[in-house]
Amino acid sequence: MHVIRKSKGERIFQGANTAFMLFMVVITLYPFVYVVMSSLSDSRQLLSHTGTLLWPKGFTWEAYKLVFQNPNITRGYLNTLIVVVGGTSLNLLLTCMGAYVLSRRGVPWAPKLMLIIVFTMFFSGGLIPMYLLVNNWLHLGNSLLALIIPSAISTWNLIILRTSFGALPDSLIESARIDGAHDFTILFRIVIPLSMPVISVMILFYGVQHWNSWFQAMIYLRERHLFPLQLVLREILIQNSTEYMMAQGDADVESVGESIKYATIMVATLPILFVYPFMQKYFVKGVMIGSIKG
Amino acid sequence: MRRGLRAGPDYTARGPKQGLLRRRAGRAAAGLARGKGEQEGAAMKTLARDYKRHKYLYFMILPVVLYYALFQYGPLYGAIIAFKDYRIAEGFLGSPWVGFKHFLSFFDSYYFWRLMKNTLLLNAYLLLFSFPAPIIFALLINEIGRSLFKRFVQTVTYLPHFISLIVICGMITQFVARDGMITDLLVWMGMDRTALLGQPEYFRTIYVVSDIWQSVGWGSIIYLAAISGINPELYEAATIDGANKWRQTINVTLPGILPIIIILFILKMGNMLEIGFEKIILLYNPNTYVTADVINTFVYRKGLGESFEFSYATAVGLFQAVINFILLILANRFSRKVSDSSLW
Amino acid sequence: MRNMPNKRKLSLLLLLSLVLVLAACSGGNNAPGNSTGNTGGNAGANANGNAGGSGETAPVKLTYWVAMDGNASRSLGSYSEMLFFQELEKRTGVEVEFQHPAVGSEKEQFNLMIASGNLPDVIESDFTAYPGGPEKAIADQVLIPLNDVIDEHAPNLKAYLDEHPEFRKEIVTDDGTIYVFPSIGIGNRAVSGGLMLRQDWLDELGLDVPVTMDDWTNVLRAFKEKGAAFPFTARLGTFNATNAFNGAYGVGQNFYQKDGQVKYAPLEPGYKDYLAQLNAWYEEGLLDPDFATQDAKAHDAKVSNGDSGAFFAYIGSGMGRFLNAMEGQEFDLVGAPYPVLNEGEEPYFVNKPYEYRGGGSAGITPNNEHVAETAEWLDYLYSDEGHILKSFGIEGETFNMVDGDPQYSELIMDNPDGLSIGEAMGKYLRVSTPTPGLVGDDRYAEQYYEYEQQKKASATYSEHQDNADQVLLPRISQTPDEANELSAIMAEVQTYQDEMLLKFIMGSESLEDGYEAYTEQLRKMNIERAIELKQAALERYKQR
Repeated sequence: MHVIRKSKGERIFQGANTAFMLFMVVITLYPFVYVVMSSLSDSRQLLSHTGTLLWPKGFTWEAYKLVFQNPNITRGYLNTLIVVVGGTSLNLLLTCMGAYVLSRRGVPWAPKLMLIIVFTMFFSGGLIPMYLLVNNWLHLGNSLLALIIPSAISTWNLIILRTSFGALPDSLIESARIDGAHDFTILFRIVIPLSMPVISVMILFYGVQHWNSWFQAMIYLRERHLFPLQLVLREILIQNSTEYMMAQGDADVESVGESIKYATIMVATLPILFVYPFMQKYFVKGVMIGSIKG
Repeated sequence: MRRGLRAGPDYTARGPKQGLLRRRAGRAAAGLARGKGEQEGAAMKTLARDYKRHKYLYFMILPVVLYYALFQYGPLYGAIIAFKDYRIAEGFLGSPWVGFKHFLSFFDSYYFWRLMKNTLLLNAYLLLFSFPAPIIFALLINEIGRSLFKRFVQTVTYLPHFISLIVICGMITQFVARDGMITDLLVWMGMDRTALLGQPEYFRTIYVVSDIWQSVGWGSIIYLAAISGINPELYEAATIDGANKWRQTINVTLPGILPIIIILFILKMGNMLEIGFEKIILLYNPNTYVTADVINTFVYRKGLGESFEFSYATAVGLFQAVINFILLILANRFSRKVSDSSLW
Repeated sequence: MRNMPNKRKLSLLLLLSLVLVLAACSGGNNAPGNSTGNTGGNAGANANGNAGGSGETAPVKLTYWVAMDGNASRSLGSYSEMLFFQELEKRTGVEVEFQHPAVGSEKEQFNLMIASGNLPDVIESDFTAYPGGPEKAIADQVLIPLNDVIDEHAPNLKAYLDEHPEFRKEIVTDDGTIYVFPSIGIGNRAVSGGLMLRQDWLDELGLDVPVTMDDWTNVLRAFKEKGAAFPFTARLGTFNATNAFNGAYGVGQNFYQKDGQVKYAPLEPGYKDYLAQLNAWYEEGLLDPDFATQDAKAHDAKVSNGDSGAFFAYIGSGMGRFLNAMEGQEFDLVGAPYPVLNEGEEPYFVNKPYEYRGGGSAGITPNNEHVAETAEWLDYLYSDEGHILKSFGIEGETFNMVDGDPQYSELIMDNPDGLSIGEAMGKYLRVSTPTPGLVGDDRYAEQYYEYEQQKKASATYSEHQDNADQVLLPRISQTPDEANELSAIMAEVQTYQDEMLLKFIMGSESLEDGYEAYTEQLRKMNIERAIELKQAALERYKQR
């Protein structure tokens, strides 16, 4: 695209930048390396180890075998998948529609509605009224819908998407309107396709949010066959915490093997890690101009 | 459909991407005679006319409004419990009123000022260092030419976001322990050997630096998306005008992502009294309370006491929310004055 | 608009998948959701369900809310899959549907369940921790009083209570109401944790297991000379939550009683001596300076790699794990008795759990339409037969009778699926955590502790366990108003005490100069009022 000769200063900058990025890669990769190596280690040897870990201590797959023996894990996968796909789809639909309306100029009530919406980011009635609403009145308790519907819109994401929609040229929309297109057509055929970078970010944010969420599952679900993966993971992680052990009367609960803990993290994290590179292809420059040029 | 992009040296000021959220001056930019009916008197009439014209907009917003009414405003009555002594079985309406008792008991607390100070200071540091980090990082990533390396860096740096906080904090604890990697480094640079987390003066630094480490990659995603949405013609125009990479970043890229920066900044401002307590609880100890104890951790510890402190926690939460909301409104107003863009 | 069709397809695809998934959700998951909705609460569904059911006597069906034991949650999806409950159903004919909160979030789910009023037939929980006390649980219509029910339908429990009037006092409210089928601790091996040292180091240095505080100082000094970087390692809880060295100075950690009077440790003279000793150890390098910051992993690593030779741990999860991990290496542990100040004294402050465990006790809710049957079913657990089934399982499967004593079979002791003993017990039985019935049977503890060192430590720790009854506060309960006041006071006091404890141990605050100001500040924070409230509750307890 840019066919310019690089100046000396720019070359130095490029070199320094690459070095800095490599540094970032190394320090941010470490937690992941640590988890992988711990999960492949022998629990006993891990016990006496401190400090950095760059290679497994006594390589073994034992931990993964034990993790997959846990019936809650496989069921958890399925539940999580349902919630991620269903939840994200609903999130996207509602967020796109809301962001579109709120980003349109000249809608007289839009600023007020925005204030009303932003207000909810700060004030909430707390856990119990929400629970009563979902459980006693809507009768969604103890079903996966309780994990999807009450979190149908994230205000944060709505604001980001609205900001992004609002930055599209007005002329695009107005000319479509003059061509006779109504708002649904404009949203789905023009605005969304033009906003693929940010839409893919939304998919990522919402998807990851659903994938990682456990709190709602924890409060609404009373049957273990509905538990999503993260709740199962949390159960395993939390059992090694002293606080939990103290809470158990006799305080002598066996802790989970260290390597099992890490293997569970791997099993619960790996799938979502593959989503990002897939989303990334929308981050390539020129998405927008490509469409306009058409 | 193309607009005149090249209008002299101030090309960035007029590009279509500059249409910030709520461009007051630009309201009528499209040249359509509508959207002025904000006077209360003509409100109903305007609304009726507006409905006719934008029927589909109303259909679209309906489920959104329903959602907010039902799930966000519906449970709001629960906030009254801050003014009552909550008793489980009597419920929200039956529990006895106690007025501002819980608020006063919080303000009267021996630790109130320390908690306020710690919460605000920690947030101020986060705002100063942790907020700009992903922006700078996104700009730097954007400068990487080779796209494979670029993708690799992006993919790797967002990994810490996915590792459980318990594990992350376990690692931080190890790094800054008496014999930890980071401690070794600092000792080599001439510091006395000690467990850094045991010293109150290091707590904020550890918290902020590790926050950057955890979130810089993930936080940059949104900025990268915004950068990739910038019209390439702007760069072409800049290049033709002889702007070097640095000038392009300052004059094209940064203004291009400014709307999103401002919005996130405003939201961050509305969060100054709030700080996630999980990470602090995993990192602090009584010796570092003096710098590390914040409002939420104090309330959390109180909740472990002998009674069910629901009313107290709600009262403190309400106090935080009111202050935060005021800060947000101020930030929004300020931003509207200075940058011509705002949340509403 | 070359790119458009693809993107339009994508949008459409999104919409379509949304519709499909939502349909799938409501179809697939509403069914179980609804079924519990019905059973949890109205008994109409039970009656209908049973009418067309089996046999002449319609079997009773109960819903039972219980937090799953952590060990069991790793191999079971629900207690209905547990061998013990399956056999129990066969023997009693009572069918039970379990509701389990997520492990680690029992408190939240419990509170929400109460708030929503959707109560199951039976709730197994710790009602001593019910907000406002157990009386409040009855007033809130969460539990029904059980005095009459137990008299009529629970002969085994009734017999036990008649034989143990002191125990009965623990499980009733201040006005004498019984509110749960309690978890009763039996056995002489109740203390599950204490101080441990490296036996192999003691042997090498020719030292005895320390008994007095002076012995401890000597041993730690010898360890230090031997090369241990941090002779005694600990985590914070060792000094502020569990009884360890404080007992030697005749003080508890927080509230305790002495001759019927409630005491708060930091206000007592012995506490200053206790801190002085810890401070001396700290200055001398005998106490791990990182005790306040290190996590469990760092602590365990120091123990297993020889940086430290003495520490506090539990017999099963601590000692057992270390011995197992270090098998084949030069590493041996011994449990030291709870320390005393002078030769010949007996320790009082040992970590003995209450006989009435609190947790694992089952209450019947007003929603229950089969109170009599439920009581009979629960009472079975207090019979010999029921106790054996709960603790040891089925003969030939999970245990065998050897010389009249039940011995766990290989399924438990050497599980073919690679489960540890604790996990295998959790999968088949309800024995290692509190449950309705009798817990802590010596015959179980003997076998659960597989190493000889563990058995010895268990005997050492529990030797003076009955002394604890004289100093530990019994199961007193505060009225709701008292509890409110108490927690307002204690939130500040606790924070302050935790901070000062560290300052005194680490020497950043001098005991000589600062201790008086410290107790003064505690008084300003109204600690004396808190003691008063505790005392009032203790007086009520004595009147029971």
